[in-house]
Amino acid sequence: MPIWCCRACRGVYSDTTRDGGVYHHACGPLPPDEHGVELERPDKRDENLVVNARDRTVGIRSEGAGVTPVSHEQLMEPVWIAALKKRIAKEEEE
Amino acid sequence: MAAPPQYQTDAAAPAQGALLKLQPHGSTPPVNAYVTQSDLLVLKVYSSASSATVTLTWKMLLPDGRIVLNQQNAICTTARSLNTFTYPMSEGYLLEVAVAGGTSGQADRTFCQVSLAPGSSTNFLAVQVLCQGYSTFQNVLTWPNGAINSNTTGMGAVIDVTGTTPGAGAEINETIPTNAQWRLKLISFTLVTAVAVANRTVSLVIDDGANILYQVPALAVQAASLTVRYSAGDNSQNLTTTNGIATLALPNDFRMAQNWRIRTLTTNLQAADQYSAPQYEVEEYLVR
Repeated sequence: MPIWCCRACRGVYSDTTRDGGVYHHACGPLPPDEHGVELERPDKRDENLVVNARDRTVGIRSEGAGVTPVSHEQLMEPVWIAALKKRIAKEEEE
Repeated sequence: MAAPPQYQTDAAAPAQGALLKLQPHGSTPPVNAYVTQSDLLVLKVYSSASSATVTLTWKMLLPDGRIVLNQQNAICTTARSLNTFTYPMSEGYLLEVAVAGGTSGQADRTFCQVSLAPGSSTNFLAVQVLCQGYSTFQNVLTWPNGAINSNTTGMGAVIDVTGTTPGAGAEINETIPTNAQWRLKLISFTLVTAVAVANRTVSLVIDDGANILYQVPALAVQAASLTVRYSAGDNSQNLTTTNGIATLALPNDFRMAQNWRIRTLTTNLQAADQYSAPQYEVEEYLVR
């Protein structure tokens, strides 16, 4: 199971759950300011899917600052995201 | 005393002639699915795994009287996303349809819908849903005589998730995925406090991505240089820290929609304090 470090929030996660499911990382908000307001990170990464009105998946919500591989140095990003991008490119061609 | 009743034990015995009048020639099939070349059999699949394989089997009665069996494997490429597969029909009667498969040994993780739709593979409109529901290799969806189940039917898939280990001084933050609805059953995590002197108060928060719907603080503060495990479960009550273990209250049987978050909010969290990755069990429904 490849492990990743998010360059925005420094969170470390595996893109696959132990039972084979997909894990979608999303950065949390910044710590509350003096007024208690929690702002989103400007470079927030959110791997949850964006689906358009025609039920078509058009990508992940936000690449943010990207990810660094912790366990599989040959990978650039989670395999499921690379496969999704390939699928979207193919659908756009069609 | 009355004589005991007599039972006919050999069903083949009474040769009384053909009582049922069958019409094998010119009769119509016992289904209402006449299809033509302009129709498609459409299979829609959602799965929480990225590589679910579903097998679609259908039986056709062709105009020349032949009955043919067709089978196609559909491989999903994206988890929690709509995967659509279309199969052109030939003219005839659709007699039977069956869908089986998903992810091995995992129930309720692959939702399938089979429909008939006139049109092309890129532009079609379903006119008849034949069967739908969660499918496994053992739980086969069929038409006719099968059920049309909603995607929120049943107990949901049991999913065990290891979340993100936050950076030092950062809070836990988990988001309910797109096209999913979760029922949080259990969650557990630890907080290791650094040497910086402060009393931290851990809260567990459920929000809808913006607005807090539920927040529960721990009964006891956590001082410097300590490790405490915090746990919460369906209908748990707040319990103070004992031997490094604290319990947080959680409501019973609540559902969370996509984009909602499970997170911590900690008073006096210090830059070198470290949360572990949360481990949580949820029941998931694939909704869209």
